[in-house]
Amino acid sequence: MIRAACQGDAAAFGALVSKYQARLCTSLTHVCGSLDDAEDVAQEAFVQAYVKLRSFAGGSAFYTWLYRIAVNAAISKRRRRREQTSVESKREELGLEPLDDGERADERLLREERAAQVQRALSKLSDEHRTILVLREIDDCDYDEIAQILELPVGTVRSRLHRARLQLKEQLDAVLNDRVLGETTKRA
Amino acid sequence: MKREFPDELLSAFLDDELSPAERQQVEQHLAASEADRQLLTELKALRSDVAALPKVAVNPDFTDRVVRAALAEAERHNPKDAAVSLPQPAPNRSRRRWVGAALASAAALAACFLLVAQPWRNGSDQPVPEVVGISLSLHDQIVNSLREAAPKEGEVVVLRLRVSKDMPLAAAIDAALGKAGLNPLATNAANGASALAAAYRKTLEDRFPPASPGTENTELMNATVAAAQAVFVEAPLAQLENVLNELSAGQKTPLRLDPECLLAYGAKPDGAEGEPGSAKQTAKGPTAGQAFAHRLNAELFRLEKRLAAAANAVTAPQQPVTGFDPQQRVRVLILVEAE
Repeated sequence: MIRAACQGDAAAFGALVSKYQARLCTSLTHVCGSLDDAEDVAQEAFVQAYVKLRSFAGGSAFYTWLYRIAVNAAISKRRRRREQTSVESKREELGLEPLDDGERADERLLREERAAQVQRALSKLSDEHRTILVLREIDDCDYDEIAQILELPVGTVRSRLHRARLQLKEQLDAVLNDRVLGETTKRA
Repeated sequence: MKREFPDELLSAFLDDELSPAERQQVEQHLAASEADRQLLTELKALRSDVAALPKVAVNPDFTDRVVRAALAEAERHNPKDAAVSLPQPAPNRSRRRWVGAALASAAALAACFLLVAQPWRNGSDQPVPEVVGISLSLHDQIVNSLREAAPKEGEVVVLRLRVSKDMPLAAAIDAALGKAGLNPLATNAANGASALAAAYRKTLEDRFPPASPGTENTELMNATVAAAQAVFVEAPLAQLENVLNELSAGQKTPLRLDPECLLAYGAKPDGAEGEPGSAKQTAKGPTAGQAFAHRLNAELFRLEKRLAAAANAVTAPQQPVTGFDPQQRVRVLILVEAE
């Protein structure tokens, strides 16, 4: 499929887009803060990939190569917009869809509440910490893949990922404390 | 007190990214450290929380949009250079760029119809190849076909646009044409636009004749889809793009240019039959000399898809493509449909 796309077969390229778009957009939504921005960045990455396909040496997996382009585009975009918008978005604004329609309402409520808290905490991290967490936890990349995508030594991936997790834990604790504080204030 | 144990090993332990020696080191450490056992448990839960975040639902038109943008971007680059140079920033769903890209792809396909759809254009019953599906591939021969076909006398690319029903179409089209410095040529019978309109209608009638002479062509009328407005434009591609941009500006939903809804029409007025007013009039048919609106038959859409697929299957000598010339003149009949 990649070889066909390299030779200018738009149908093959369309199949590549179709294959990777959901995975890429899901990750980018958490990196960028909104589905709209994620789709913009994903489109930019796919277009750049198409134009540069002939230079894709095949030394890494296509998705790793694509993701490297996308992550760079996402970080650039966020830097440009940092002062204009906040990434703190409600779940609905992220364009996320429920996972399981079959679960009980109370379970679903709890899961959604937890997801909102995690997203809120995630949005408070630095770009580099959020990106590496998304790559590891959501995209399930191993350290070598992360190193290729972010163009970092594996040792740096290891230490940065750990710091990112500690930061997320700290932010999540803060989010939970805010919530408890808010409820206490309401009752008072 | 400075900890001797590098705690980043905990994350790597969690991710199974340690060497055997490191793993042994972590296991020994955990056996002695209640605090880090607790931390490891918390990190594990945190990892699950992040991994459980819901997936996104990508917009249904995303793939199509990306492919069009990529084709347009590739066209802007010399293919030889594209392999070694970075492209400019991608379109990012910019409405202006998207319309242009869609137009380029759509026009290429439509032009392809012009070259291969001779049996249909002549009303012949020659069998049409049954080919399933439609490819949006912007093959070199199609690009070259557009370049070759667009300036031909009597040929017109038909574009079908769907816009919000809330759009004040007539005023919007006039404004868009005005801003682009164009006048609708259909108001002037001398330029051939009305002949094209009449011949186009005749083509529809040839394929869907009335049950008996003197009766209304009810099959055609019942099966067709209304086009709220239609306008014939002959202009450079770039100027035409401006018209489409103006039409799409300020709309709640972006103006859609759907390649599967493209029709190509290349009728050259042929004597008296193609002259304005000479073709049989249907109850809701266009009147020569007026700005015209057509009804399009659903069967024609299906036919055109087959023709398009057949066109894509045509083999032609590959020639180098240097991209669309924005100043290249094209003739289009824009059928604007409210939805």
